[in-house]
Amino acid sequence: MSDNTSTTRKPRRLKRLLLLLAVVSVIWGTATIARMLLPPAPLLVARESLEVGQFDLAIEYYRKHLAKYPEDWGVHSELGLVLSEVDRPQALEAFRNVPSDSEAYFDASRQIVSICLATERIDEAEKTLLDLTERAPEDWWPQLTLAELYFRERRPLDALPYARRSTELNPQHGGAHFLTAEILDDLQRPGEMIGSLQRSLDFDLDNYAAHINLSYAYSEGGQPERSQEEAEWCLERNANDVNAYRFLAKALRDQGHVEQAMETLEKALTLSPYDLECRLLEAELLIFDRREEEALKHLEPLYEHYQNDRRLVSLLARAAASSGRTEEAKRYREQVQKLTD
Amino acid sequence: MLSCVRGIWIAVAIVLVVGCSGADSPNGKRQNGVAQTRTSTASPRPDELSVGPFRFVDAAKSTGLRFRHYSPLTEQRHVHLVMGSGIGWFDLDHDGWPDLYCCQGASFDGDSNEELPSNALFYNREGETFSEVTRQAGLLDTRYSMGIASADYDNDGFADLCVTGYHANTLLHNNGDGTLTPVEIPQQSSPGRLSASCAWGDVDANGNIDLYITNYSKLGPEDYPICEHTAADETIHIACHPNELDRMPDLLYRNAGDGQFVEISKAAGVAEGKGRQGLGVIAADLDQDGDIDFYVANDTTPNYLWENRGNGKFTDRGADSGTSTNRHGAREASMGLAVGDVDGNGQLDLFITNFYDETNTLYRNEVNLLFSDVTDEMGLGASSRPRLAFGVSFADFDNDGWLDVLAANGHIHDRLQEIGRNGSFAQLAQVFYNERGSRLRDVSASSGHYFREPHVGRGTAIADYDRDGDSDVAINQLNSKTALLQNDAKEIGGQLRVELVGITSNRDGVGATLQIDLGDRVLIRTVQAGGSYLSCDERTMLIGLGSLDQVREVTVTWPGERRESWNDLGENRLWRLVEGSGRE
Repeated sequence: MSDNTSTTRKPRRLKRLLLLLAVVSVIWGTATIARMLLPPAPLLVARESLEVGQFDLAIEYYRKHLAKYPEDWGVHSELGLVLSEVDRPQALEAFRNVPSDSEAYFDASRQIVSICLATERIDEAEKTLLDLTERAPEDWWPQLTLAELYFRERRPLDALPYARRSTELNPQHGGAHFLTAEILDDLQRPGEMIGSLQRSLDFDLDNYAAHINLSYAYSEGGQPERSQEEAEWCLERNANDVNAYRFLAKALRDQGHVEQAMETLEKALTLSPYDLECRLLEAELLIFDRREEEALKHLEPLYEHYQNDRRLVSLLARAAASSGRTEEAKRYREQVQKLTD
Repeated sequence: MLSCVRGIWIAVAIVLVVGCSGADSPNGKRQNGVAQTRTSTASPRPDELSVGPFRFVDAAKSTGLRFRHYSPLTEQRHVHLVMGSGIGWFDLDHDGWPDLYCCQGASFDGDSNEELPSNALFYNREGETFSEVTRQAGLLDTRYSMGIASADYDNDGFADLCVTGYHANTLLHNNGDGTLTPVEIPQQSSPGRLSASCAWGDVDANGNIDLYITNYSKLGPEDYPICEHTAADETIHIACHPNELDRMPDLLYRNAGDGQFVEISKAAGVAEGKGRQGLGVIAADLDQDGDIDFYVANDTTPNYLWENRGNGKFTDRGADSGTSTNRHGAREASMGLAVGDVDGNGQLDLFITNFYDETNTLYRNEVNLLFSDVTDEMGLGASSRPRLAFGVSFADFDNDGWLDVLAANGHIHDRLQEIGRNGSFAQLAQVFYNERGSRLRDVSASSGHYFREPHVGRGTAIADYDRDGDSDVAINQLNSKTALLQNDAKEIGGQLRVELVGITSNRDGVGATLQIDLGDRVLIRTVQAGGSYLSCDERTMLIGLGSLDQVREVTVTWPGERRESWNDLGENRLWRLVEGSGRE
């Protein structure tokens, strides 16, 4: 039974295959002819041109497409991306065309921000970011970017809430925590940097910058023991880091180890004899040790270069007064007064 | 400061983001404290048993010292409401037991209704309990009070009071019968004026003690300054920064000796210009030239050091002396003050409390009116940066002959989180142990439960209120109960209690300096009438002797430079040194 059935089916299957082949051939042939006879779709051409690096042609065909389909917002964005490689103002125009109710709006807005930041169009970047933070309050990216923008513009007070919000929305972003710490430093709130730097280290344990900054933050935040640990961590990895030596010296001083602090500072000054911060700390230790003349001797060469540094002039005034150089002391004091006013 | 590393990381971030007499007290009450063996009236909590040089127990409740500061914050956060008030020890009836005067706040719209909380006087019943005697003493006062300083200005043997406040200052004469009566002084009322601390000192050494009052600001009463903070489109009221406030010059009064006071601020040179935001003030002979100088803690403006020129004039030597700013020439937001020889070099050092993110500052006296900021090297810098300190007291808490330090902390902003700041309104108080003048070590954590709970501390005042031979501390706390920290240290040295009695000098010997010769070193102490923040310590001096049981010699330099000495003063008793009874 089975053999008979099999014999009777073979010719039918073959027929069907032949028929299918014929249909496919007709379609393919028609399409080929059509392609040969009709002009290609502009969008297709644009994309193919892009693939081979023909930007001008791509732009031309994107525009043709948009002339026909002006509300194809996704293509406005595509065009904007292409233009951003060759003509940023026009790219901005393309992105600006994307209306806020389209799906492409958020991507377009991000691109606007990127171009504006790259071309110093700060006002528009800020405006766009503020708009994004309102439309997408749960999106960490505009929060973080706005924080970054304000930070770069020396507006740390404005930057801080956005940086903090971005870390709430995306706690896994180590850079956001680091940025928050930097903003706090600009606000002269170093003690508050500690938490942010610790979080940034959660994502990159060996981040040297975070460790050295943490040493500084601990020092300013009243935790000299921890400042010392961080400075030592840094010095194990970079024995030539003057900042690390300075932070270590400060931490030692704050823990009452004044002599060790001075020894540590000497190492830093061997590496960088004219480092202002190190010389200031050295002078403080010398004055504490009632070696004011020595302090004066070390500070005076710096005066020419840092005449407007209030800390330097103040220490010079103090050291000069104790050294009996009253006229100099008076002059320095008057300068401190001016610098303070 | 971090520009190198910052640059690298920010680049990464951009990519990612984009008279020598051993004396009994006037009424014969006990005098000789036995410091080493005594029992606290307040039971210690289990968590207070950790080891440390000091141990304090808050005995306010157990002794009946029930005072709650009242200063309700307004929605607008009117600035004087966050400043808090002071506290002062003085002996109302000269019975040998220091009584406690607590300055009270008031609501912003408060009036003189007697139902409102008043300043309060607590009478010390032989160190066991306190009874409130405000009404009986005639001291009911519901106006907003700030500072207190006590001194016997009419030399009648009874301590009088100056109480400063918002709108008005008050001089109270002690009638000697347990009551005090207000006395008129020039410019005692000035609507909107917020006076702060006051200190007594005999500036012309004529035996009549004079009075210095700091003025913080002119606050309305019309157009009271209101300030806002805006962040992330949210605006809230906060207490104004001093820069936003009108200044007023300080006040100096000359005691005419007939019960009258004459305001001499301008003539003496302490009221030049607009003035600065004055808070703390101490009176002491800082240059050891025999007359009284004033040091004034100014908020965010340079501190004054008024050098007494001896001719009725004062010159500000703040900048010259290195005490107007910190070591880096930065003005600090200064609040409270203490004066004493911290490092044992025989000179009076200055300690000043400052704002959050600033250090408190210790100025070491290098003689010739030159001071060095040695805060960090002495261990006081790091631990004070995360705190906002107001009250500060020097006291030898373990009687080892070295002055220790206590600081009361607490922020002025109660909405720190709302303005995007870390930190807290209530903060931990701190106490530092003096390691033989080389360093002050923060021993707060082991010094008792009080130091492990946050408070909004303001004025601090020292007294051995229970006469057990060690220094106790009263702390006025903003909108909270007053703390009475009973010193309950187990191992302390011997002590000498000294009371000066001026004859040609002012009766209390205020401004006198004592040199206590211990053999291997000489202690320096000065008699103060006003200090810390808005506060004053008791007049009787408690001098720690360490392991010694007697003092070889005590030399007193009275105001005006008269010097006399007394020899072989035994420990653990009160010595009343009467002017003229010593060896010149």
